[in-house]
Amino acid sequence: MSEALAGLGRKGFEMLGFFRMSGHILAGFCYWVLIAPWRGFPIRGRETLRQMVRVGVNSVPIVFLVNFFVGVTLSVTIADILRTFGVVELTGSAMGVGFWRELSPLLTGIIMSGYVAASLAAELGSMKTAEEIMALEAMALNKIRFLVVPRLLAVLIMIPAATQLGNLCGIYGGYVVSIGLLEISPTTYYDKALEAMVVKDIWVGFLKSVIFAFVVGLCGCAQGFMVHGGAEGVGRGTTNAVVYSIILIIVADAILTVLLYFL
Amino acid sequence: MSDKRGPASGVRPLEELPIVVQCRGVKKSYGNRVVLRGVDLTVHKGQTVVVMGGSGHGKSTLLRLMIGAEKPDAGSIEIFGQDIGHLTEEEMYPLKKRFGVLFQSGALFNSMTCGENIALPIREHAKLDEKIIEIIVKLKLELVGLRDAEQLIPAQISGGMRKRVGLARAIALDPEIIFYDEPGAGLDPIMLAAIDELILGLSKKLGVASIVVTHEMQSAFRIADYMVLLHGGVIVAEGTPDEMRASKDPLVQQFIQGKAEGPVPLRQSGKDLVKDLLEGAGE
Repeated sequence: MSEALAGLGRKGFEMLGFFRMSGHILAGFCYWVLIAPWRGFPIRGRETLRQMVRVGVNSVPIVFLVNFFVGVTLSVTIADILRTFGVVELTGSAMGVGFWRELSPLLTGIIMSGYVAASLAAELGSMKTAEEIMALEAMALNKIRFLVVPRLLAVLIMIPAATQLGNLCGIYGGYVVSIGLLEISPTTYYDKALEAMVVKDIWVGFLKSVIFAFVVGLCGCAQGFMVHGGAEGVGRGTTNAVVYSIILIIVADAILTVLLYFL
Repeated sequence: MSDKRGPASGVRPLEELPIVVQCRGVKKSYGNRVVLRGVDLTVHKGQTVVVMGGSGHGKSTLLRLMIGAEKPDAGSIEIFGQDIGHLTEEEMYPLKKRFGVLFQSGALFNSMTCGENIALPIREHAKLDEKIIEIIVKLKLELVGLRDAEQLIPAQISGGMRKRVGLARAIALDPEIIFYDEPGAGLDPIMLAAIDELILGLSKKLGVASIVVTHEMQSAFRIADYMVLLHGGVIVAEGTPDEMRASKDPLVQQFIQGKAEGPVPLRQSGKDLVKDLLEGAGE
């Protein structure tokens, strides 16, 4: 019993440490992006571009695939219910709103947790165990400016961008099934999809994707910086980054959805 | 700390040279484990101080405290007269630009070539033309005998070479103090001698102060102006290389002669072996 309590306490401390580190990183990020460039410390553009390729371009195929197939699955499931009400053509509406507002940001966020948060934590964690981060600081170079800013900026640009592509892929997945199996005409599908969507769906989806991008980037960087104890520590940090990122995305999604419902 | 053999022997007595590093009563613990129990150390300009001691006796911790990577629990560390214990990270930057650190593994950035690694601090801190930076990089690499490695990434070169590139990076900004964490580990004897020559050269010609944490006794005696032996978190012996050689202290002799038997026990267990084994069997 006491061991279980101690374990719980340790986990609590670890989480507290994680949130403190994330806050520290976020504050540093805001300073180095918003204030420091005016004081003669420019953002490292080339490194940011390199990270954008790593985060965005390389993960696009997975985002495409997952969104497309979830689009296929969802359209068939929804069509089944809609058919009982005789409004199977509304499949397009459900897909448009569902993907833009909810599914694509969430799916892309979760894919990126596995893809980006893990790779950030592993990279920064290895750098920490190899004394590279200490070396950087010993050279009077700020670790947030050098390591976090290019990575977090890349994540903040590429995850919302990938989410928009995910929208199109998901809706296209539904389209393929709708015209192939459900005998809905292509124009009806698109008309219904566009008709049902309002501007709010677009900005809510976009807002979610930006917040999820922050979650993914912060989880990856914070867990990477918190790594201690060699290769095993890097493994633990990587796992933690993915777990924290997925949980926080789902919690943030629920909170945002409820809050934005009333707006 | 008195000194008998100054950096520029016979030119100026050491006492007249400015103090660059001064530790007073430095203490550091991690949880319940006390690592440093009050260390005093003074380093003058141009002096090479070798810090010796067994593994786990606080050498690397002392080094990390001196470069500002961690803060001491008690006591003070002054670098160029400024107490770094009370400085924020940003306030430390001007000081950090004046010293270089060679880490145990070299700590090169794996995503950059060796040349870019050396160019990084120069590019960030000295507003120089790219062509000039390129020349400085080549010169620094030449100093460590690795001009051919400029375009290679750290993963393509050996551990010893990485360490030499790390040294080239540490001296990129022509620092006034260089901290070396085990510079000899992983180097062959010839390269070790070459690195020692380089350390000596930097000290004698440019007046660079060096603080070297090392186990390599031969190398330590070659480069040291002053030696300290750290044991159990305190300095138990100190003096010039000659004084250390002549020391009657069995601990010093065990250490410099590399004997397994002596005051420092090989086995670090407080429990009697037989008792420990029987207790284990009884459970």
